[in-house]
Amino acid sequence: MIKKRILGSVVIRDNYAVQSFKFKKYLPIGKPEIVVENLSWWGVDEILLLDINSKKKNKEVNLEVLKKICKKNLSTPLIYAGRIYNSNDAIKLINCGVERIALGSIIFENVYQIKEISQKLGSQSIIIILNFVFKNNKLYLLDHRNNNLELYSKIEDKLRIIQKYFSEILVIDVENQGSNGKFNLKILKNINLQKKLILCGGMFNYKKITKMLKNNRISAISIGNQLNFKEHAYQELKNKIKSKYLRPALYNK
Amino acid sequence: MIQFCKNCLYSDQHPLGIIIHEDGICSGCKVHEEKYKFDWKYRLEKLKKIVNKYKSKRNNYDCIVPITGAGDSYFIIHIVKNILKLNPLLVHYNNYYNTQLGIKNLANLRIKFNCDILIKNINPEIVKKITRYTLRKLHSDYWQSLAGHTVFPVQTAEKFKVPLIIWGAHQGTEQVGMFSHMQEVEMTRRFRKDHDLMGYEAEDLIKPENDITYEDIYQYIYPTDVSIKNIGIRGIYLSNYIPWDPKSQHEEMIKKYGYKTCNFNRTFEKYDHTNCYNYMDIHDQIKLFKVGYSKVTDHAVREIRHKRLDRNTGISLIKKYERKKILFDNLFFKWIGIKDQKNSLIFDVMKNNKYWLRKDVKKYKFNGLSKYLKYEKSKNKKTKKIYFINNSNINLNEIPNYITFGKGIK
Repeated sequence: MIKKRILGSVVIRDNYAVQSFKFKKYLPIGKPEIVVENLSWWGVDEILLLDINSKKKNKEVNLEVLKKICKKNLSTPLIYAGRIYNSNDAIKLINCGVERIALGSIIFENVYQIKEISQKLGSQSIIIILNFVFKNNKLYLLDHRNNNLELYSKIEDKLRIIQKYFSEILVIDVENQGSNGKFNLKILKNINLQKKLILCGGMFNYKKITKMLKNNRISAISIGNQLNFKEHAYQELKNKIKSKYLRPALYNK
Repeated sequence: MIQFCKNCLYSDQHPLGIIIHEDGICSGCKVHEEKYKFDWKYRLEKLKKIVNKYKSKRNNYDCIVPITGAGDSYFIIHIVKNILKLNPLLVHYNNYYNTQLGIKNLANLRIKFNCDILIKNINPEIVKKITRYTLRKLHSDYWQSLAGHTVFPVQTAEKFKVPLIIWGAHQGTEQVGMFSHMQEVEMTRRFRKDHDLMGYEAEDLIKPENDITYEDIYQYIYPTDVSIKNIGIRGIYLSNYIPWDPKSQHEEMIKKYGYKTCNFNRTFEKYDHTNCYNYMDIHDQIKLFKVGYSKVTDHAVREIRHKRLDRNTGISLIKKYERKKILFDNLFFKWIGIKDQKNSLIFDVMKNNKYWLRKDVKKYKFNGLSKYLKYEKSKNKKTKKIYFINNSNINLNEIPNYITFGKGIK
């Protein structure tokens, strides 16, 4: 049985690691390279870097912070998300040392770029980010760049056509991001794409994680803020869940 | 463009990474406001429940309390002994920059609270060697002090199998609002490395370019994950359970236990760091060189947040104190064995060109953060005066000298 993963996610805002709440409020944490190094030291299965920018006009991929992270020669696989708009950006990131890239805003701007990027890197390297918002009983996707909401059903039709060009979907519950275990499970019922899902945004709840790990559609769960409050928070999380779907916690000697 | 918080005097250039929200208020001020909203009685009860689990049933200590003799040491022990009713083992890392006043305060603390204390003295020659390197490489005179102060309690917890360490305030939360009090952040190795050690663990100091060996840094090495897990070591911060206010806490300690304070040349505050010749002196100067502001800004911000100081008075105090002369640099350079420091470039290389504009050889124009601070036009011209008690002197016998070790009582 292929084990499922618990990802450590790090939100990077203006080159600084932050705690994020609904992607609206932030609290500073520290230097991203140290935060990521620590997660790797703890034996996190995979690290998700969500690079956001307070200046929305900035469209360039941020290699500055990534170079500092990759300089640490970490053994943990990295997923990078943030301002990736074409295959050149994607190749730069892979050359920097990232294993996989996650594409978000490109879905709204030019969904067919995903095909081009995938043809150069391989679909296993591509993850699609879907930022979900529930409003008036309808499911929307949030376009962070333009601060627009678009009906998910419309976008899903487009994604269905190109779904062989990506490997997994990062499902973010924007409204509950940064909360303790409030991830809205209704979102999952509305996703009809045949891809494995990574859940993110309010997933820190032992019962919820245990339940979700049993779900065949889910390959990974991403935890962010909660990994910063305690020593060995990641190992403690794995120990408390005690799921056969997970690799055991690692403690360095 | 540099953005300042509308409430306090911190800018988005703060080295701990402050966030200024859309309403112009910084993350530090937002988290500070929690102090006026929480039910602190409930939180203290919560703390009591947490620590009760650690009361020893085998005649061992209940907890470890790291102290310096100054700062918040008195208040922490007061809470631990008198409110939480614990039997602490006090641990003190000797950074060798001890003032005469600091040694006296430490001795008084030991007597008044009647606690056992463990003092860590590392071979001074090794400490000097490490300091010479960190001064050159990290531009820090204080790496050894922070490394020792943050590792020795954890080593002691491991050695004595006392899992609970009790700290005072979480610096990141108090200054920049790194964590909400609700999140009850605990001591982590990551925070220590990132903020206290400037990204350099002890092992990172061993480089081909210097003569530092494993034996030199051995005493600064953090216990292993396995050891921390097996003993269940955790470090909690009192500031998550008690509304932290250093000024009023110190004043209470002056009254109750005779804590001694002194004047500093570079700040209006008289209570913090009375134990150290360097912290408010050469260390403060280096801070101004590197990050464009000094400790007086931290003090002004703290008092503004506690509503004891208005913004304009805070700006005046910063401008008054931040570039005052340092007094004990000769003492420091003599101690680490650097001669002719006045002619050396040691300070010049530390100057961040964002805040120090080079005009000529050894001539710089200060362009620090205070240059951007503007007085507010206010209808209310009344300014708040702030008063700190001064009841002693940093040099008790008037000749400044590092006290390597002293009993502190006659």
